[in-house]
Amino acid sequence: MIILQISDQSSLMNISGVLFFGTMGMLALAIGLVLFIIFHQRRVIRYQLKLKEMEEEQQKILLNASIRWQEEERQRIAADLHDDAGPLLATARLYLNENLVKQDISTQLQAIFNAKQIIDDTIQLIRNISHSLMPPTLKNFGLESAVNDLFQKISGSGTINASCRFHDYRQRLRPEQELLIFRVIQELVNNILKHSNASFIHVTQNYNEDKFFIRLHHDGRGITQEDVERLNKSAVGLGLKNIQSRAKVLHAKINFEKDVSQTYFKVTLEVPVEEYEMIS
Amino acid sequence: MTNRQAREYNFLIYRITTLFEFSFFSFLFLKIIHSKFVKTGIKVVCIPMMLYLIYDLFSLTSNNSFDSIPSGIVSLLFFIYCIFYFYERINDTTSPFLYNSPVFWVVVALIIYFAGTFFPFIYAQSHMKDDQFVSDYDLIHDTLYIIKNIIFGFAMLMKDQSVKSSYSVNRKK
Repeated sequence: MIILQISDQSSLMNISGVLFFGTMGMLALAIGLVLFIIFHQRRVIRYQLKLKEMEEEQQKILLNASIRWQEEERQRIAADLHDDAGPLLATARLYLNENLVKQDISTQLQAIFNAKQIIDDTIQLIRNISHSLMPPTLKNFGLESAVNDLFQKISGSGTINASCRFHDYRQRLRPEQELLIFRVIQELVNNILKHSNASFIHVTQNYNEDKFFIRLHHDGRGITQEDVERLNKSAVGLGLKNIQSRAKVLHAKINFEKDVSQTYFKVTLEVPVEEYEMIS
Repeated sequence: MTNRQAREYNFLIYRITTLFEFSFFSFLFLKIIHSKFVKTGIKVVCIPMMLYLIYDLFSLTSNNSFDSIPSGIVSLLFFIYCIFYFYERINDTTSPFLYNSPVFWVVVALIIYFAGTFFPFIYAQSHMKDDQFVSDYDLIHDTLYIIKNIIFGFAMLMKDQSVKSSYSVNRKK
């Protein structure tokens, strides 16, 4: 009887123990789960905030680069107008002063002829400045002609062999897109000419699955995506930042890499283009 | 009427409570979980479970013993639903701080209550006649019941500061 009572009591103690430890275990599991969720989410949010900050920083760098580029461009135009067009017009004015009427007819004709020559030169100069701002070939005949034109001029110098081939350019893009793509190509070519010591530049164009591809190859000293990311964080590399800010406007991806053959460097510009964005 | 008699009288009410609790909270989880797969799972589990609870309510043992098996299954199911809810929230990186949402606190209250009461519930049917067990049961259950209601109250009083997550925005679209 006593043994039965003792066994009953010990069984009850056992149940109490199971109840206590079981409940504690389950509660620990539940509370642990809740805490894990909260801390994990806080970590994720902190990471996202950091990512956002980095993105904002990058935007700021790109914006600064763009402003600096604009300022440099303005200074260049101002210098061209002030140093070239200004003196030319001033000289023309000198030829056409009030004393001209008192001169004999042959001197007058000579002065008018000289002034006309100077004004023609000034017109040509202003046209060149205007063309550097918006190439007329690009506006009138499209990207293919503009790139061809640019490459012919580069090849004409004889120092580098530049060629381009557009495989699928049946329809023109929107003018602002074409201008941005052209500027990116211009900047890339400019960088190659300045830094790479390449012997050739070759540009190819393709259109595939609503994406407009421009691939640029050269055999000089090039950069890879890692170099681009490193340069992005530094204050140097204004041209590169401009390329990226233009790519951003185009919603395009730009990738710098070494070719599979490891001989050439390759830059790929991938511009998403909807059908309706194209102009026949 | 002694305490034990009163408790025995309450067994029927316990079963009715389990049935209503299961229906109400299943509906709540159907509303707060957005994954179609989990929703279908809840619906599929809900129908046979409801039938079982109704059968259990009208069975011969309904007014003389504690409904350990139904209560245990219900606790376990809600524990799993809570994990599914958390899993969904953790994967939704667009959702802001979880603890700004009253729904999160409701689920916290539920997971604490159902996790804590799982063991007392499954042992209750066979040990409800032991006074020691009854006092342990009351201590655990009542404490968790109070905690659950405090958290519910906190959730009801708090203002929903959570910005709509991508899930809810997509649902509205």
